Amino acid sequence: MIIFKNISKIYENNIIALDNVSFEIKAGEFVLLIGKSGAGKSTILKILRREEEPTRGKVVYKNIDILSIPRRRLSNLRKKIAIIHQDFKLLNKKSVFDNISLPLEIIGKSFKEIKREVNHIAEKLKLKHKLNQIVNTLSGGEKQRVCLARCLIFKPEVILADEPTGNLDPIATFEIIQILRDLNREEGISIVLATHNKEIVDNLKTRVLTLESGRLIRDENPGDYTLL
Amino acid sequence: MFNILVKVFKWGYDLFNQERLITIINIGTVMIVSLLIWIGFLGFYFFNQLINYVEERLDFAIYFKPQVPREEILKVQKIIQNFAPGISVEFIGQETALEKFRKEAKVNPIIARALTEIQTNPLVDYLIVTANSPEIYPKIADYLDKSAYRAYIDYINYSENQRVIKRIISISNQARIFMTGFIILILVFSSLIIFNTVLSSVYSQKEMIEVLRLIGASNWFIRGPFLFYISIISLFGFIISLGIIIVVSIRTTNFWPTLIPGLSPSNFIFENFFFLNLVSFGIILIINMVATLLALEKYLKI
Repeated sequence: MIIFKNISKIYENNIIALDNVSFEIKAGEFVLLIGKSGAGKSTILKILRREEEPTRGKVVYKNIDILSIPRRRLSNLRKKIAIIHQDFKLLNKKSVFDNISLPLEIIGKSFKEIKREVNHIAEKLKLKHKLNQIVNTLSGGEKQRVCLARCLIFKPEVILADEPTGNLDPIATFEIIQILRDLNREEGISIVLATHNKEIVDNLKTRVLTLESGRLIRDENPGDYTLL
Repeated sequence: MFNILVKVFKWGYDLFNQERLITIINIGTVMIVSLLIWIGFLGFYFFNQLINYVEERLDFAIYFKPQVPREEILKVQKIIQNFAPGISVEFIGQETALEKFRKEAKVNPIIARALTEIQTNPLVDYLIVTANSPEIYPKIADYLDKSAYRAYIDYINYSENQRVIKRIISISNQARIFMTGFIILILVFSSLIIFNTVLSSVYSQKEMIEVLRLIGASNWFIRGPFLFYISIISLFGFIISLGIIIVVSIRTTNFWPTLIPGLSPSNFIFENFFFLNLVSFGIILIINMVATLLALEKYLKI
């Protein structure tokens, strides 16, 4: 589904973020991307959504070279490959409903359709009673669930999670990982989770890509995973 | 498509409504820039009126020898009148010249007494040439100098006025260049002020742009609300400045003619109302839109 081939990313002043990284992700896979800060995890995720372009190499998503997609069509790619972040990236002064409905608003869905779909997703992520609440007033775990709801509204094929539990307490962390696992298992959404939380890696026995100083040093697949 | 447009307008309106302080600052900036553009227009009008006023007062006279038949003088009048558009030639006969002279001499008793004593008319027929553009005077003078009518002419006072006429032509041309430069400078200055303000307001919405990009909004969807927002800002700023200009020009109607007779900024504004508003609002809108697109480009690079 995703082929990352000989990718290098060199920033100005010759800072090497990625050095000839290659891997492949199959549809429905749950992949952990681990490594210290600055190892290149976020850069890989940004390149997958073409928020950044590599200096060298090729990225293929469903047989399409994403580097050749014209800028005006990138929005379609980003709807299929969604992302959640450690710092949530929500509109803090708007309500939960407004945040979740945002992706549908930008494609011009009617309010009736938006309401129906938002309610459906909110129900699934146990956010229905919070829909009218302003995002600023939510806990970290709730905010991350709003992010996930916003992602899911477009029915993405891949979810990239960039340290999504970095700002969360252990219970909220568990909740988010559980949701990601369910989405992967029940809906077949591929998940690429970047983390340096050892507990998650140890408990979630799944494929692990280990990065060090921009190089992929290990690609381990222990088979099916279990949580806790 | 309709739904998307509604959303774009809604988001634009939200920007207008939510960030009130920034909105007020933006409207104020547009208003100042708009006033500057109006000052440029009015400055151009003042200069033109001043130059026209001075140019209208420039003329030269062709004095004929006493024995020249009046028909010949009228022929010369016709030739000069047809020399170029915008030329008027007034014939002043000997009698009219004397009458005028008497009127002017009334204040001087010695000259008045002398005129009575000589009992003849010492004055001659002459033509007064006035043109819209003083550039034509040297050409007429040159033509007459070389024509067959030169023998009828006693003298042309053009050479006496020549220096003044040349100087005024040069000042008029320089003033027009200066005013054009002044307007260009105002536009550059305005663009810089607006760009700076727009940059700040786009920066204040960095979070929103980031989120919209994250969820896969197209670049035009992100630009849309900002362009709509800046259009509302431009309209408000422009209307306020127009109101100020109209009120000030009406309240000062009596003042301007004391500087230059016939000077009336309010007449200038009302006579060219549609054109001036279209141009100045167009300039404001274009500067604002370009500044918005440039400011947003930074956040929409990839």
